[in-house]
Amino acid sequence: MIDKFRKVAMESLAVLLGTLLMSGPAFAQVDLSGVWGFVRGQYGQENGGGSDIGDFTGIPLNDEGRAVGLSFSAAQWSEPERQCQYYSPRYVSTGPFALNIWSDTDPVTGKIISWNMGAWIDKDIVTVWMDGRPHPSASAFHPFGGFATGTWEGDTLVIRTTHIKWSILRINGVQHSDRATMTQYIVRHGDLLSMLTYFEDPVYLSEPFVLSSVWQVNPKANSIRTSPACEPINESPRLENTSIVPHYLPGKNPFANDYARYYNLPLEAAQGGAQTMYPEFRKKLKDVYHYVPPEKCTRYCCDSPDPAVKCIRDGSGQVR
Amino acid sequence: MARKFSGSWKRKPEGWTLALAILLGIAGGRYASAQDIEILQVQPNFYMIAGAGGNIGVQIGSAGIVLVDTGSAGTSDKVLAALKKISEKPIRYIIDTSADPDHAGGNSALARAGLSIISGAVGNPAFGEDVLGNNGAASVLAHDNVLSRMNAGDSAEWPTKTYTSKFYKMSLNGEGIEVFHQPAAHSDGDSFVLFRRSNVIVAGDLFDPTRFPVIDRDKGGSIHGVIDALNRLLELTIPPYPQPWLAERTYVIPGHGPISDSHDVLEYRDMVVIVTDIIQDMINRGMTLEQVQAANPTDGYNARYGASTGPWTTEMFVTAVYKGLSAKRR
Amino acid sequence: MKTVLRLETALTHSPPRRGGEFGRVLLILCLLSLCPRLPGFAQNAPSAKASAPIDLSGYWVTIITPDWRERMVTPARGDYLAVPLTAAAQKIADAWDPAKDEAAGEQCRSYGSPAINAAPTRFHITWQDDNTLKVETDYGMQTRLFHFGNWKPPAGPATWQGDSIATWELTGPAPARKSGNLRVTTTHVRPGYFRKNGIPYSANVRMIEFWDLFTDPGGTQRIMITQQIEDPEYLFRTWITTYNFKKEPDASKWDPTPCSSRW
Repeated sequence: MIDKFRKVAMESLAVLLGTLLMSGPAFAQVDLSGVWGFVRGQYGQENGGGSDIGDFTGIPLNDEGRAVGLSFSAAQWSEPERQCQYYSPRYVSTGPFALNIWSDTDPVTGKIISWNMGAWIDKDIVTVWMDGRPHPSASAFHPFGGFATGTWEGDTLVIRTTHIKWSILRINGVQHSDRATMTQYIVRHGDLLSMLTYFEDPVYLSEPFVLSSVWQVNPKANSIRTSPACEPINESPRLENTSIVPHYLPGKNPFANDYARYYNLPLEAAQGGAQTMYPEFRKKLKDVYHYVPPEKCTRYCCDSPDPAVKCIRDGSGQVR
Repeated sequence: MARKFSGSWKRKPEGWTLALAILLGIAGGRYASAQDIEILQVQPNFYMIAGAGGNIGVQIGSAGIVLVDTGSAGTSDKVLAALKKISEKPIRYIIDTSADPDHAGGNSALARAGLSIISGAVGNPAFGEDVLGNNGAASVLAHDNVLSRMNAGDSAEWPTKTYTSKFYKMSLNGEGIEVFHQPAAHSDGDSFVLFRRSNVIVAGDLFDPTRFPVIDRDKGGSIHGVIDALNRLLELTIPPYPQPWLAERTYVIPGHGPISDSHDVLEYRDMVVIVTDIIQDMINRGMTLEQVQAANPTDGYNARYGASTGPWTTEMFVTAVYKGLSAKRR
Repeated sequence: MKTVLRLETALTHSPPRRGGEFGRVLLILCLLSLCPRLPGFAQNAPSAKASAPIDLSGYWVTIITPDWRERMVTPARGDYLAVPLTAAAQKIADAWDPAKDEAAGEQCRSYGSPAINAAPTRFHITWQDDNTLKVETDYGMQTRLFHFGNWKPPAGPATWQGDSIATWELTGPAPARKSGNLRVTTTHVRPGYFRKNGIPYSANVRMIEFWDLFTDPGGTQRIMITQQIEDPEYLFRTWITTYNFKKEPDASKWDPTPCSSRW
């Protein structure tokens, strides 16, 4: 009798455990921790030599955003106060450096209280609070990494970032204000980490700026959790202890038309705007501007890792 | 961005979480609300009260509370209720950054709710007139021009002590407090207040990132003075270098708007200089004020800082800058 | 389940021996975990359409931001930025001749499946049948068919869009697993161009795509496609990219245009 009972109990246990095996793990969360190398397959020039001055293509800039972008002078980076300035957390989405992601857990409950993405050479650590805390008020401090909270939707980590400092949207001077907010969707497919970034700025963008990017597991990628220490140096004496702020007066930026000129593009295309993001803009390029590409590529033509490929890899025009 | 790396990566990454929690918890990450008043912690002993008119700086210590600015008249009860949430100590000292009613409107109510820094003062002939004059209430310090500006109004709101030099120094609650005069900026009576150990500067309307700088030319304000003030503020603020991921830095409490640091002051200073340069260029080309207004010299910044209605409009700002720059030329 | 019960019965009638009960438990465990993989086990499984964790149907427009001059317009000859092409591919691309492609009736070379997600296109996604998802493009008027289940590609020449086998990858908390993404593997593609300026891909190209669906803070749905392309002849390494599409309310902006070697 006892033997029969034990046999039934054991086999019931087997069925139960087997059902659980079929069902898979009971937790919704995905482990995002590790070092993820940025996959260099897109954002070619943006992550290489940097976008050209006057290249605002594909950005839903409004008129004020365009005005500020055209007034920008790269010499501003020589202001002593800017030399150790972090990039905007928006730059998380386009690399080019690796992500180092780790979690912090509550020592009592073991629950993850934050995911952290750090830090690259020139970006702040982004802490994504997972404990349901609210975002602080508008009067609260804006850290370089912003204030971020996260929730799981299925196996997608959805991150909402507010309290972002005024910074650049693109290296060539397109800016975003301190009223910007960002929502990111991070999903893992095996050894790939894909991210959709939805960036809003009521001051400089007429529509959300949406980007997507992908990383791949790479324990050897160049990634550290904090940025290196940084000490400013005096690059330009004329900017020290003065009221000189490098910029171009309206209509006086001598480089404003360079990008359009390099690629035979009309200014309406080069200087951005929401219409430049959508396929129907091609009709205008074709029927109104009669766009014809340059006869051949003369700058930033390729970045193939194949050493046998000889091409122009930068703005110098030299093949190497 | 050029930088010189010291190559020092010694800090363990795991400890940064605590630093960030402190930064955000302290610098406004948590707050309490007394109706529409907000209390935001800036440093362990320093708070900002928002929503009472201009921002109010609050230093807490064993001696009591030091306030920088007192908000608008009529908000004092709410301010007092908020102060009770963070300290039971009395208000000992008040420092005005300007004569503006949204910064000094609560002088009388809050001083009288406080207590002179010198105990046993009332009825004691050994103590100075300023202490006795306030009937044992907290002292109110401001630049002498603030008193000049206010003397047409209610004397109860007047500062009880003024300074005429470049700065005024004192020590309270275990730290040095420096009050700097910034001439001819927002007005002729503006002060910054630097709390050395707390590493906090309360800037008043010398730095107001919610709008274009308010330049009260009738009260001696000027665009050159505003730029000088912002440059001075930049000199006084210490950035978080060489370890920018850490919380340690000088925090700046602006006249209005969020708790800031040196980078926020820098962005605002750069905007002011750029707009000033644009207007100066238009003046150099012989444009009239009307022509300058029509040319939209603040293009790129209107949505963020401008206003078409209210007490300080974009048009008023452009006019103030134009006149200030044109006067210099003459 | 019937198969499992029969095995259980056989096991319970085995002669008892030391460790025998534990061994039977172990065997049952293994068999149960293998159940979904047993042929015939999923005889009554719902169709791909019925079991879809996400709804990709509707009209979608691509958002062109990164690599704008390579995607929105025909790039200059020799502009191969961001493509990990081999020297062999470069040689072919340098000889790109759109007139020659037109003469040969090969205007659609740059509209194949390895190129179409990056193209300035709209998608119209519908179910052709319960196990075939159809993706039509207005740019080049192409049609991709994603086949679920045990679909076997027919014999015949390669096509511009190739043969695509699709599965749903279910995610989210077990056992419901109510969320997920689409995974598509495409092979048997007719040689074409990754970009309109002649960067080639070979007949051996293979593409794996992950299609994820999100709802943005404004309430608009967005698709993000992560694609991995391998081409042993013309790519130095796997080319991994992402593209994103925004849902549109209707077909009002749908604008079919034929293939073009130049535009």
